[in-house]
Amino acid sequence: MTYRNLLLAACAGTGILVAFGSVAMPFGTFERNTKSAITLIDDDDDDNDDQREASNDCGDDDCGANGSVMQQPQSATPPANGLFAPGSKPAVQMN
Amino acid sequence: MKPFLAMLAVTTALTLPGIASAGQVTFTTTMRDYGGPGAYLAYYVTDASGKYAGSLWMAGGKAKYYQHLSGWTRATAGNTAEINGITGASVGAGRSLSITLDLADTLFDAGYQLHIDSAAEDMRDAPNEIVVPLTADGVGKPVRGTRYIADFTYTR
Repeated sequence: MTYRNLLLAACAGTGILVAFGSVAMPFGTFERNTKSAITLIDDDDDDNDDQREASNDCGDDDCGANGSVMQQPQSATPPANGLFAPGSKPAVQMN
Repeated sequence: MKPFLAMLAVTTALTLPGIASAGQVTFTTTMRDYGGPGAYLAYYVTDASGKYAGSLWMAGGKAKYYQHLSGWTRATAGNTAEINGITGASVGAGRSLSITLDLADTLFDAGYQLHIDSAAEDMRDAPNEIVVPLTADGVGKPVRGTRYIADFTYTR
């Protein structure tokens, strides 16, 4: 009888964890992130990477746009590095 | 029934603190009119012993330029997996970037420091342009940058 109760309690506890987990981590979290699955290949013709050429890609990533720009990160789920709340999504705004 | 209630209490007690211990933090970075193209910015955190704890944001999408963010590159060995899901556009001169993140409360008042490395094309790199301790006292207090960043503020 005791074992049955313990089993039942463990199931209930797991249920609670799953319920809270579903709040903190919506189903979208589990969707496969296709962008992160793609390996980016540098196909630029100007492969003089030794030169100091940081961030010459304003056109690529909208850094030169005027006015207020709401941006979505390229991939919406932060890494599980212990710094972020599970399932949280960054919000970014550039003015 | 007692074991059931005991187990339920334990699992609930273990679960709730984890849910309660995170909050929204907004990092606002205003750039100077430095007269160049968009700057790459790497936001990352070190712990009380100075050890890299994790990345919070990367402004700039092309990995080949990350080498110019030398503090971040040294800390991560250039591992782009560290910034999966937390990468956005570079930040133009004179513009302002606000990033709102749900961060663990344990980052504050525990010796953690936020670092921001910056770099722009054909201009000098600025590793650790901003280094600021994450504390409750530091909330809302602007920190001046030394090269590309005019000022940086975090709020909770």
